[in-house]
Amino acid sequence: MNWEKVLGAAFVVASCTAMGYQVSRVYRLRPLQLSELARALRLLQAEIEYTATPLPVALSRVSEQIKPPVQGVFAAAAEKMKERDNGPKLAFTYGVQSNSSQSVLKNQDWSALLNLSETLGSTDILHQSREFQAALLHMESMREQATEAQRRYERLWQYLGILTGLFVVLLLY
Amino acid sequence: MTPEIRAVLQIAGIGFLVAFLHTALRQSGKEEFAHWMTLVGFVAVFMIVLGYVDRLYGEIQRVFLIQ
Repeated sequence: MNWEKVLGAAFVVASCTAMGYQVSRVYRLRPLQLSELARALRLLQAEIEYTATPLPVALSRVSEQIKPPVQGVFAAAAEKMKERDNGPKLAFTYGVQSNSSQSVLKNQDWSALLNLSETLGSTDILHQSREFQAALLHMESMREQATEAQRRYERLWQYLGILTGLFVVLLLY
Repeated sequence: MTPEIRAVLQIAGIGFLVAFLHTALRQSGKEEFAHWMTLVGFVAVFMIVLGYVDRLYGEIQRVFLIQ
């Protein structure tokens, strides 16, 4: 038994396991972040429908009540809207672009938010709440898909990491 | 551990891992990927065995066929 070999084998297995967990993390976090985004949309909807808050203030209020990484998008959009009267579409595009790399959400998840932002503030309240309903429905179906993907692939990637590590060790031993 | 025992354990281990991986992949609906994985395991074992068969033939030639 030579310890260098055992130590190297342990390193290989540990790093492959870590890689597997890193990939499975995406599948675990996506449903959580999607429901957080849906919650943010509901809060924004409440701000617009019941208290008729101006959009920049509403955005920063929403961003105080939700968790990162979705929080960053709303905070950045609020900042962008407060400076120089930018439109909501531009503000949200900026917010998503500067913060989406911190989350595991995909472009198609953000597109619901971006589509919604086109009608924010430029139409009457009935139209806006319809748009909110549509966006929330979209979020819900996305979340169902993400939960299904999690059920299928989260465990698989963990196994895949560990087994690949063991495989490499066996081949080299 | 002699090299022969080590090879047997190595091949058995690879077989075990590939069987497990195949089941895990098939359960999550990646049927074709599971088959590719099995093929990779087969090729790995084949490479190991090839080395030993090569040595065996070399030995046979050395013992019986020296002109």
